[in-house]
Amino acid sequence: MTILEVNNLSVHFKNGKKKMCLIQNIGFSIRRGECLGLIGESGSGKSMTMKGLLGLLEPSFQVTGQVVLNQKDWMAQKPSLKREIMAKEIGIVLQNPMNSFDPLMRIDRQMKDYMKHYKKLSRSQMHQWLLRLLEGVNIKQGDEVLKKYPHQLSGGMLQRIMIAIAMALEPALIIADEPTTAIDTKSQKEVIQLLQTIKAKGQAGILFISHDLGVVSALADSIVLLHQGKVVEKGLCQDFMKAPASSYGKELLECKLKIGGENHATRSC
Amino acid sequence: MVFELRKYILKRLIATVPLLVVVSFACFLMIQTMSSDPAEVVLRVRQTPIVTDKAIEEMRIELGLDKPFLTRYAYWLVDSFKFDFGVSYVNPARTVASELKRCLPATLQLALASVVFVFMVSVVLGTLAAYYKDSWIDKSIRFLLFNFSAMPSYWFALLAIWFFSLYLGWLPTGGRGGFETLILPVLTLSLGQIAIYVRLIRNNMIEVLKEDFVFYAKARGIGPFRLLTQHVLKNSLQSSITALGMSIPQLIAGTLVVETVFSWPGIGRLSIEAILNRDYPIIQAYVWLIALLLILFNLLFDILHAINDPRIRN
Amino acid sequence: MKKLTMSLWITGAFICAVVIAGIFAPLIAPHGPYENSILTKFTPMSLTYPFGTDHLGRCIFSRIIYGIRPTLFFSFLIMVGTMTLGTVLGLMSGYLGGKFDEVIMRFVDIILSFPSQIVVLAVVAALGNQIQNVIIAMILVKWAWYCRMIRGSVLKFRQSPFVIYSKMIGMPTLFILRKHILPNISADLTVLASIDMGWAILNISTLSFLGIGVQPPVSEWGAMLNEAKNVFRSNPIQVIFPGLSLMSVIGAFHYMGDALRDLWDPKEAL
Repeated sequence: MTILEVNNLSVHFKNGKKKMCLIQNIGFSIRRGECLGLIGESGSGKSMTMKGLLGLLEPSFQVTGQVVLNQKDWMAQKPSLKREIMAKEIGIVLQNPMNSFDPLMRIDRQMKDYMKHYKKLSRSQMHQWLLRLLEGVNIKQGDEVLKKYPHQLSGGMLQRIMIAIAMALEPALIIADEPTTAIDTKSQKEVIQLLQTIKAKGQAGILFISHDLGVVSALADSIVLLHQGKVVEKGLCQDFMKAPASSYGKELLECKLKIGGENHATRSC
Repeated sequence: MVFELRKYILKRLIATVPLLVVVSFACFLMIQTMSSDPAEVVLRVRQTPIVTDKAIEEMRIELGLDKPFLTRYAYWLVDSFKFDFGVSYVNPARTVASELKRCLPATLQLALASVVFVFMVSVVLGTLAAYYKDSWIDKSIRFLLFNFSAMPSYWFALLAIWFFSLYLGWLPTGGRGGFETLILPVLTLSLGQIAIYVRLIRNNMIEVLKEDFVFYAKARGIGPFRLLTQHVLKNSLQSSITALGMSIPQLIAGTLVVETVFSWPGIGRLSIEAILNRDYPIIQAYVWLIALLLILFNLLFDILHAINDPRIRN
Repeated sequence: MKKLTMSLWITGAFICAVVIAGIFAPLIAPHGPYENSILTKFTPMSLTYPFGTDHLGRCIFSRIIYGIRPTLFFSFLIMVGTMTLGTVLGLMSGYLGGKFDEVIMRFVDIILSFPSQIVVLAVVAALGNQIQNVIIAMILVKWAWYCRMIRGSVLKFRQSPFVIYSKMIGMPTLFILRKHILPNISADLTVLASIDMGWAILNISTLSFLGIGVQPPVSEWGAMLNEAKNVFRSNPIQVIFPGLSLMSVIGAFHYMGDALRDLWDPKEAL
């Protein structure tokens, strides 16, 4: 069943008299157990699409279009209801794990503070639950990690904690915004493996945003290619990787192959 | 964690000592280099009928001015730690220390009440201005504060007295007494500071609100109130709290005007009278006291900052 | 340089008008500032006396117009003094670096950590209660602030390509300072100057209100408020006009400083 459906999403930036169109008429859908790769070069509007559809852009950005989440009209919801849905039904993993946590708060507090509301557990039960979540992302010394502050942990570890948090309340949609960009190669592999496991379970749909085609090909079922805020190509990931339909898509893939093959694709042409 | 903290505190304490030495020397020096001979000044202030050279000489010996410079500095410094600042030139029956002791509590009361008031008002206004950036709330707050910062505080005091005391009769016009006497002076003293801190808090908070962790928190579904109180405030107030703590000695020094207008018996008014009467020991002690307070508060707030922010200790 | 907005022009025009009024005071003011008479004591506002009269029968409007001279002039002196001293030392400190820089910065730190009013009080106490000592004291306090700001700007530009190139081809230091660094910090300087004028006016008037510096019967606005406070119960209106004048002029300088800064360095904008 379709978890997320986006139709005609556009974002305009309005500052005084200036009005700029940043992304235009974006549409796609994601089903349960499916992973959609939102790809394009830096600045093509991928992150903005994500922020726009969640409604987390500043007031000077105007978002129009239709977003249907779990068969409910997302845009029309009250802010408090939106927040509840974001907590329970959407899990999010961001690009810069080092900056995504409150630097002044311990990890355990940052994990449980939001979830306390939705999971009524006693102190010790909550602690056990957190440990299990961490084990699920291959963090063995959970006790130690929970007591630490963000600056005391590595990027890869923080990224995995983010994934653990994203999975915690068993969401319907997981959004991963360039999760592999800011971490080392070994951690990248771990993150991709985790996401593949999550996908295999088949409970959630995944929106995977990245400019790294190699990583996308390992995970995504279908892709949407963005260029300068517009959809340039849509289709199955396999089809795209073998024979892209658009000229821009062809350019991208050529660049990737020039650098050194499927596994080292970071676009820098 | 506690061990790192102790090391940091010790380091800061040791660093303060040379600063204290330099500042105390500067204080002493400042007052000693003056154009008129203090001995002669004292004689005239005490209205000695005939000021002869011999009388000046005797007065110099009495005041200890015949000893070499560094000796006098040493004596003064040691004495000051015993809280012995000598005797008032104007009224030898009173020691400087007793005068300061008499007036200091009044000033401290005013300064501390103001700090609390400034903090509360600035946090509220600064947060509103930052969260609703560029809206009418933000703009009207900034407009109001702009006017207050251009307004001389003593003028505001006079207008306030006119309106609240003379016209409405709600509040007394001056003097130190119960709670109602504290209201107008604290309000006057706070105005200038509020303008500064709202601006500081607003700017810090705007920067913090742009940070990734705020976005992540919002994406996880946190509500605005909890976002502000549990995450944003703590991260925004770091530098503001240090600045606010530093402003306590500034406030203590700045009570001059308020004490004059409201006839508040504090050390500010004491020092103004001392200047107009050229009562040097009092001025010297006053400057030294403020400097000491400044250094101590600086230290205190650096340490508090380190306690609050675990990143600094490393 | 971006276009200057309308409000900036208006503020600038206002300040110029005030300055001109001060210079041509005898032509604008209906009466002399020291003409007193028991008969005209506490007259309400009228055509002869636009702002009324004070406790000595003097025309308040005239006193305010004449009062522009001391109020603005002394502040101007302070501003020029602090700017010169601060800029020179800031330039040298930032550009030359090394031991010189360290020593100067220690001084700056110490001075900046003192509340300015205390230092002014101490200097006035030492040298005597005259206006020139107040001016000297305030210059001694504020130069440190300028010095630090200018040094910061200089450090920014020291690394720029044209400065490094000039150094490499052996241009004399003075030339580099004059031709490359100074023009780039002139924007900062102007902003600081404007805000500083506001600060200086506020402080001078506060001190004269307390009886330090300017003495009656000079019609400096702070001193006028000092006198007004003594007759407050009998004639509260006397307090209004000097205060309004102060507020509008200080506000104008603050606004100009803020607006100029927003214009030239949007990153620092409020």
